[in-house]
Amino acid sequence: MADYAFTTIWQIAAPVTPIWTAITAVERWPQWWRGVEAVIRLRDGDRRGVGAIHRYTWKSKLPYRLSFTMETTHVEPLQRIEGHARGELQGTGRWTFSETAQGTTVRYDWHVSTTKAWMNLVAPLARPFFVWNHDVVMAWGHDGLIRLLATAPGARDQAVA
Amino acid sequence: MATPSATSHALVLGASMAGLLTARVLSKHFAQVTIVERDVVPDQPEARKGQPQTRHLHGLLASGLEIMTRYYPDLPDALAAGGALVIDMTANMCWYTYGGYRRRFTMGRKGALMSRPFLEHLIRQRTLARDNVTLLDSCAIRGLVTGDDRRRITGVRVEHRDAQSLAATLTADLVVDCTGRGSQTPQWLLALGYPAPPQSEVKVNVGYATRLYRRDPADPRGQDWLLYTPEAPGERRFGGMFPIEGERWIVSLGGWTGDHAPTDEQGFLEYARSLPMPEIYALISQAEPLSDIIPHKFPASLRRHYERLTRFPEGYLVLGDAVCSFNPTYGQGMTSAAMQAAALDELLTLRMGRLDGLARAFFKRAAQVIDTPWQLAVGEDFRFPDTTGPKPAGVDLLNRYVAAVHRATLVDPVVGAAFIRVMNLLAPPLSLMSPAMLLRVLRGASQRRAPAVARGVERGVPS
Repeated sequence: MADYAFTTIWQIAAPVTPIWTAITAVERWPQWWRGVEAVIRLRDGDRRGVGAIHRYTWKSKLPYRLSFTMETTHVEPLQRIEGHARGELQGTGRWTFSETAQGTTVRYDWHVSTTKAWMNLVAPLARPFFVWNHDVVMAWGHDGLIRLLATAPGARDQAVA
Repeated sequence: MATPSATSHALVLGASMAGLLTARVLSKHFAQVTIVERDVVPDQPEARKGQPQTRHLHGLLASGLEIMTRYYPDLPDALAAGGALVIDMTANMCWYTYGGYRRRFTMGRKGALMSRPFLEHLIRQRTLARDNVTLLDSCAIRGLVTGDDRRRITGVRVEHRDAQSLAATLTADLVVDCTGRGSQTPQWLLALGYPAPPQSEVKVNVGYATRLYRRDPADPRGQDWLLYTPEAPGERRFGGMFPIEGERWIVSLGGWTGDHAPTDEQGFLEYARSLPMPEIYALISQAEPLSDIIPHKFPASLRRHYERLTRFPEGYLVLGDAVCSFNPTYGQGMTSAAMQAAALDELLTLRMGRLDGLARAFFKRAAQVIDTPWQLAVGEDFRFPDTTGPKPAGVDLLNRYVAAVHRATLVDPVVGAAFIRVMNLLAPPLSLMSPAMLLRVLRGASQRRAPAVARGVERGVPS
């Protein structure tokens, strides 16, 4: 199995609340996050969303799709969300949010391993492409979020690239 | 006016391949098309003074031939009748690279091998045979003509080479600059108060030399095309030997980063002998030469980013080498021009001939057409550390993978087919990264490099 550890940091000139709202409404990601083909709820969570399970399907520049489920394991409103991935990727993801003088710092840590046989087999050759692919998808997410914040009602004055 | 009418007129500047194809396309959409050319245009297959590159090795990629055949349906037959080879190129391929021969296979798509002047002659005959296409040669273009507000190009000022030096203004609804790399459009735009396009220049310092030889069609090797391309950056030389019409071989030898082929008899032969592939030397050392050895230098690939301009006059376009002139060793120039002309055709059809705002839409499409061959060519060029210029993101990453693809093509014809389709601009480069292809490339590359540890691939490819 091939292991990958990614950390992505977005500096966004907007307060944390609309960002939190956008990121936690995962079923709406396909509307603004290029690369997210589908997010389907498989199980509801509790009042905070803990225990919810969603199935994600991703497609970016490389000619294949990735599909896995995420179970939300931990939620601290406006600060942190953690989840557990199972499927073609397996591991943990963690969003952390912190407000700064300039806006909000959003950090995503993604520690996963690939379970698909071909992905493991070609990892020695293709690892840089998988890494690049992840970076592309995260960049699309960043751009999509900025656009979303700029058009969301009430957020017009908050969004800056 | 916004829509071409019964009296509409288009001017094409330049009667080389891009200009001829553009004129052919515009003859569908305009009542009259006039091609203006500075040189005297011959009525036979010969190279003009202003197109020195046409005397060197050319091949027409499958996608290029397919597009041209759409506009000139009898072109493949006319090529073959004139002695050119219209063939499934991958079946007659003798291509040595990365220490071995790429595996042959049948692609099921035909390309063409011929001299460039012969191809251009056929295209020219067929373009000028259209009722509404006229050629005005020996006619230098002196500048653009605009309306008072300079928002629209309304024609060009020309000067005829004749004794009288007749100066005149030609008016048109659309003017397309196809004058090639030496295009004056950037200067003309500046003079009219428009910004010139930003440029990407990638310095490659490629130089080659070309000679024609007699070919014996009865020789079993006489139908193969031979190509050697280097495993950069350690190797810098290349050689190509293609069978062409007139029972001739055309042989071009050369190198990147200043390692150019000499033009004296002995030096040229020695250069051929230095290539890792023995066939070219073996053939030319025995064959009868039919021409001098002619040099050609290509210092840099040049792309003008018209798609990035926010201000551009109406009624004016730029197409072909005038937009992007590629390192010719990848053989993509003519096909790229054909794809741009076809894109213009589609756009005019889609817009039902409406010309307002055409430039922005066209340059966007042209940039998409150019992106792939530009990335392929510039990507390979950047394997040489002496190459300078704007380096596209991810090139090093891609080059490491493409090196593995090259090695895999020596053992796996399926990878070979995928690679040739990309080189022929029939498939996008990312098609080389499908899961099945990644597996094959890994297996192919590791087989060649380390056959003894084929079971240990999970541990990584030795590099």
